[in-house]
Amino acid sequence: MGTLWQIQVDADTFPMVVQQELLAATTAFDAQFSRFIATSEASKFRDAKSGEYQVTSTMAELLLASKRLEQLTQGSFNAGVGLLFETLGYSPKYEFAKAPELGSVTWKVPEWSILGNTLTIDGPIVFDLGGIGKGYWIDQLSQLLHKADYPYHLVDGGGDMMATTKQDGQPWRVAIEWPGKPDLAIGTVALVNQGLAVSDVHKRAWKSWHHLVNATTQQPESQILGCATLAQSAYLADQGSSGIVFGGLAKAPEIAQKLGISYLIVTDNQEVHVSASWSGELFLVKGKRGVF
Amino acid sequence: MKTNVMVTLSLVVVCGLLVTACQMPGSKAAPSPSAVPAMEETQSGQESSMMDAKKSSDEAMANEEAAMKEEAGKEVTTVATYRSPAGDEQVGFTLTVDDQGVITNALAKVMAKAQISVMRQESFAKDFPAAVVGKKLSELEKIDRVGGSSLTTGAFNQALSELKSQI
Repeated sequence: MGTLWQIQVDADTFPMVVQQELLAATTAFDAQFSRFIATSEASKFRDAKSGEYQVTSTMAELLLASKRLEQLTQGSFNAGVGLLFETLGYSPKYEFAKAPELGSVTWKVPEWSILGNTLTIDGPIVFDLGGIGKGYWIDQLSQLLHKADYPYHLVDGGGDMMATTKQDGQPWRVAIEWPGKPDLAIGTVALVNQGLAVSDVHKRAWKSWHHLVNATTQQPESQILGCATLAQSAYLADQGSSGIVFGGLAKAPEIAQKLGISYLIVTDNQEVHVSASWSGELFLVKGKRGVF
Repeated sequence: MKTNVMVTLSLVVVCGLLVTACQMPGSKAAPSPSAVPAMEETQSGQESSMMDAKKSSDEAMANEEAAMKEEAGKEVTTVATYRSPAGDEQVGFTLTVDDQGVITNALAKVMAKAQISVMRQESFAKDFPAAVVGKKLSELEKIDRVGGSSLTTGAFNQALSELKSQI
């Protein structure tokens, strides 16, 4: 799924057969939902005509959550941006050299809707489920671990995670990176049966673009540098961080309330904002200078 | 001076954090100046690392104070009134602003009447203004993992370096 996955289990053993099952399941999920794989459901409608199509129930669920975020962010977040990414060079072939100049892109955002398992589209479309798919899959892996009798674990999918507790009931302590400064931590969180998602514009960037492209302005998002969210599940946390990055600072409280998440946001002028329910620790120092 | 480097990275969290810290579960709703002590009370597990942060900053503070005295700047004083459980209270703020309008110093003045309010304002004034400066990951203890946005794959990196070689 384009990133590094790690699972930490607090147990005496973690047999290879279990690890292989998790790996196989993850590969299958990726094959079904990655736009980088030609035969996936995400790529299936790349040359399709307008009309109604049946999708799997997992695809329907992911699309429904995406549509909710689209509404919460007034169109800035749109799962249907796969083809836009390709015109920018972020295609299955990673053709970054052909990325156009900012402001020179005009591209019609495809219309799509989901009702039950029926997808309605107005023409060719490729779905990018990266904004929420990782969180969804992290939760699924956590469920598989519970079923395999490993209830004390932390599943990390490239920095987003779901953690239960350690065997002794202690939380998993996680440091949160300062967006853009990978050797610096902005604070920590103590995870107890919680999901954590982190969005940051720096990690996938090319020319003047990065991977968080606003569907309505068709430019890379710039107000928020990075955002961390906490929720009951990695899926909700992932939705929250994606929604906030695209919805902007002003939308964050509404998104937090609708999804039941808490957040930590760093804006592009280096301000830090936290929601009322943020339970993490921030590294505060008394200083005599600051930009208000 | 090392602290200058940290300080230019520092972020202001005064209004947002203090107001929101008031509303954390378990703590009573209270006006902003009492929020910093409230934070410490409800998060005892995090106290020790906050204390560590304060210790290292105190040393840095002493160095900075010497340098600060030499700086000129315009002082702006304002008095804020707020409602506390003990009644209406006042707290003063003095900001020093340089010729570019950047606030270079900020002090809080204890003006409260009720004993409890005085204690809270004193505690607040001691730590005001707060800034988030971050800590090096290598300095952190007992961390199980680091959360950040997605790591890049080899393929992505390779494509990027190809791109860079074309620029």
